[in-house]
Amino acid sequence: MSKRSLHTVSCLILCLAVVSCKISDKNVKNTILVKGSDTMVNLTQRWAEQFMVSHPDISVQVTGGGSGTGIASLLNGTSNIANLSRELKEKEIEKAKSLNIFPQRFEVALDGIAIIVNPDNPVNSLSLDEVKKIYSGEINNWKELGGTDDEIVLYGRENSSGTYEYFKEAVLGKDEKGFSVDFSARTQVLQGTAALGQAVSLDLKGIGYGGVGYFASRKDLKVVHIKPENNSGLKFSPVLNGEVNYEIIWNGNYPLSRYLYCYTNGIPTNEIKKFIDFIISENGQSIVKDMQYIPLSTN
Amino acid sequence: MERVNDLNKSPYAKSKSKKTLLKERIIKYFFTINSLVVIIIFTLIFVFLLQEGLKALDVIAIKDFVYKTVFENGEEGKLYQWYPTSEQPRFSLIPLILGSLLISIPATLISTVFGISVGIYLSEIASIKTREFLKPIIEIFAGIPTVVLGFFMLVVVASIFQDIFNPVNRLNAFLASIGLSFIIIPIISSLTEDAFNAVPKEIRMASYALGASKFQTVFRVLIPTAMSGLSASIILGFGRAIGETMIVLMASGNAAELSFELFRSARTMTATIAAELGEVSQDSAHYFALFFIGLVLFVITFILNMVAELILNRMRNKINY
Repeated sequence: MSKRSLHTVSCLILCLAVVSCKISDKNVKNTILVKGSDTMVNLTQRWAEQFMVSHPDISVQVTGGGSGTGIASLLNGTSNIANLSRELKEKEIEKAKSLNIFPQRFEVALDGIAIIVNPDNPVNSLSLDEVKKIYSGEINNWKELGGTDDEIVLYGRENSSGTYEYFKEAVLGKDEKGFSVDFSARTQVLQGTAALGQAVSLDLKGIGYGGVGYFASRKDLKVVHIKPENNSGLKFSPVLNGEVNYEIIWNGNYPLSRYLYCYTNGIPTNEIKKFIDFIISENGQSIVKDMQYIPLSTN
Repeated sequence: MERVNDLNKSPYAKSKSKKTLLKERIIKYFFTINSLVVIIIFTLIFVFLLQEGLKALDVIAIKDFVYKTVFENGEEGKLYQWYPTSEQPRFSLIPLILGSLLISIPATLISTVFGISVGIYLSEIASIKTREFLKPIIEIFAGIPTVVLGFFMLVVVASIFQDIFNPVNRLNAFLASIGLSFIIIPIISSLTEDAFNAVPKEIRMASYALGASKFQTVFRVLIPTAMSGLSASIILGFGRAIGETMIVLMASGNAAELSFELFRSARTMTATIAAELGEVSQDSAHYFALFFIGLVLFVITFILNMVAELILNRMRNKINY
């Protein structure tokens, strides 16, 4: 009896093995391996899907792992394209030189984060420093910012999200010891930008952040103007009349936006060139818009 | 299994054709193999969980799961924080365990009051007709997908609570407890009903014969007799509350804060695993830490279920006398 059950189990395992072999045996075509920034994984995945529809002979495989992982894999030859949400660091350029590799940079899209509050909140603008103090837990009451006497309720994203990382990097920054500052423990973690927008729209005391494109047209949320400096009168809103204010992001005035890059090993040829061309094309850029990122400047 | 063997040896077996014997054999093997497969799969899952969870102890000291020592201006301080992806990672499970308890204990208390009352009503007070009508309705509650309940709490109930209680956080531990109660009340009420039904009729009749009223019978006779069944149902409900994921993930706000306030956001162990395991980079300290949480959860629910099972067994033995 036990022999028999052993047979069944081994049969099952064999079946599983056969099935899994079949799945992993597919990459015989021309393959482009893309690795890098987690912010860009979903976007690149969409580009890849659309690209493979028009180029069935080419397969694009996208993995995340972070910008650092991306450039490292480009340098050691395990990927063809590295996705980076920042420019190359001094160290990485030197390493590339020593390996005789000349990474070629392509701007492929922009990423912009909007800070949102409830429409009934009297606060209209915040300085970058104030946003930092709010999210690190230094400022706890709207009163300190010219609002009502209420505790600030922080809404944020799960720590695996690219927006979380970018916000942490761009707003929270580093402390005096050089360690990056963490979100306050009071930050409520919501699953996705939709849940976050919904929560802030219903919570008078709430504040949240997320991709500009997602919140631009929402009437039940207010996108806050951001002041790059504490004391100057300059302030910028990424939204104008219910639409994303692309101008202000393209000219770099809005402080919470950044370029997203693809790096290739030297000047790209063949299928890699085709893929990069597709990304920069009108079709590729309309996908950028669909995915709530900011497309490249058209002029 | 043994019964089948006995049957084969009985004089009737001879009269059976060979075909029937073969058929019975096949059926016997079919069930044996199925149960073996299930047992093997569960063992493998447990081994996997144990293996991955214990690997965490290679990367993270067991003390770090409780607190992290920091030196600030020459003074030693303890941080009870869950910051797995920080540059200075902190893996304290205390805020998560606290969050789990802050949500599941109120949920169990609420469900105990309602669940046991409903159970008593169904088994002692309701007429057969009402019972047949009410029972399936209550059981449907247990069958509502938890993601639907979570969404309902998030969108509808949260707004109602906001107007009534004006809590610090719109999404808070109390809201999640109420959500959990919807699925635990049916568990407790149906187990309560079972416990009451298991009380021998003679005891009930004797109580009435002595002139006790219905109220007296329920509180002085039935509840003490069915006590072990009732406590088992509460423990099982508590186990379910600790292990439930979707409702707490959606309704509790998930702030891993060290707080004892019911109207503040809290984050449970289950929600942490659900929110973070999907994207964590494999074989990192964070990854193993999440499995360690899983292991802690498993141990907690395992102990709770075992205690409940022991109590139920004792009750069955006692009543069978």
